[in-house]
Amino acid sequence: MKKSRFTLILPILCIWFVISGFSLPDPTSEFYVNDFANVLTNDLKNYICQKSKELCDQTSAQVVAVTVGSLEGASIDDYSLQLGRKWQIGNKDKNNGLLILIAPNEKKMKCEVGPGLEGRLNDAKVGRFIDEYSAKDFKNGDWNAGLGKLYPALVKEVYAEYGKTVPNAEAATFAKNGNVYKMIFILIGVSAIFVIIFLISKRKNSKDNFFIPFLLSMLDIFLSGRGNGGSSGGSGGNSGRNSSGGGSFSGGGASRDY
Amino acid sequence: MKKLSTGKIVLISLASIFLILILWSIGSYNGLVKSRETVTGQQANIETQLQRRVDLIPNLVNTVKGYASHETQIMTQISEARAKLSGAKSMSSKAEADTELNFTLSRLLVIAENYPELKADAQFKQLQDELAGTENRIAVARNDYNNAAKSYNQSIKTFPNIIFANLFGFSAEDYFQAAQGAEKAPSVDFGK
Repeated sequence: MKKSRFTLILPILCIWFVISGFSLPDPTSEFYVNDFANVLTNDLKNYICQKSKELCDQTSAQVVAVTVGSLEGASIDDYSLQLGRKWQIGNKDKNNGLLILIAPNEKKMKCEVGPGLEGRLNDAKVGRFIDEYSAKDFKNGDWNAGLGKLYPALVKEVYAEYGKTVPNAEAATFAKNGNVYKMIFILIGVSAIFVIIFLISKRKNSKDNFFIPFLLSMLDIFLSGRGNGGSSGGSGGNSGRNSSGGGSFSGGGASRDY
Repeated sequence: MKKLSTGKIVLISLASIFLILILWSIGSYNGLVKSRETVTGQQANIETQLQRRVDLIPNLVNTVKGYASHETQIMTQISEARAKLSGAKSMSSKAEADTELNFTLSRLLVIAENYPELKADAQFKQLQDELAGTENRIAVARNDYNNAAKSYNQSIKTFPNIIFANLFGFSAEDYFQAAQGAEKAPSVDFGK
């Protein structure tokens, strides 16, 4: 029984390999960032994850960044097309996916643009963006820095396609690291205030315990307000692809060979 | 229960066979139409991309002329290939013209290497990206079209669809594929 099943599967596998020529990876649970080549920092990965999720919620467009260890002999154009189609990046009806593929070992990169975004991100513009923002870093082999500069520029264009602007745009200057510290200071400051309020309310008699509900409601507002940012810590549970999906590609975009 | 006469049995079975045949042919017909529509859709995709490329060329030629006005030979070849592509009717002649255009364009890019100012021109860079993107799109559309045409052609040539295909006049679709040797079509004198 086992043997017969195997002999049935074997030809199918053979055919599949012949047709595709190269095997494509499956997306990790963090759908928006897949660093198979291990060239990206955690900061950037978290940033992209969070920003792409936000973008997808607002516009249904999906921007995915992938690094691969090897293109397995395929051309970068072919590889990125097949990968984008396999992962079905973007909305099914709008085909508004954008795949940034980096192959550090081959020193190649490609932005594969879904047909739904081509109006705003035509090939010439994408090529210009790569040259303007990232060519220097990519040439030096600093894929992380290059992607860190290219990604926000592309996301901004995608928002513009849907007549929107990037929410809390100051976060786009993320690469400087300063914001993280600022965030920590704010967090410490706010919690200190709460502790003081709590202590004051404790000192008074439990009779006029007006501060506790106040404190809880403030805490609630604070936590829900920080909800989006809070998940930036790379919590695997909800960082995977949310709505959307099913998009296809038709070969638009620009590639570079360094 | 009254026994049915032989004539009635024959009649009923003939009628049911006839009914099955009708239902079967409806299913087959609809399937073939759907499959042919896919092919037509993919064909439209190719044509859009070919047109896109045809539209890009005057811009490219003008930009190049600004820096390399005396390279008239390649300009003429490009214009000819472009005209041929615009005039092509069948899938195979389009594919042939497209291959020819590919060839002349890649030659132009080689020539451009000799003109650093042209290469540095922002417009030229953008056109290069557009052309490369369009070329890639054509390759993708060609692949998708050929796959659709293949599955359609297979279905009309195999039993039982072959019966209905002949009956309803479904004919095989051309592949988007240049004739052998078409990639060498324009004779270029590299000595010049």
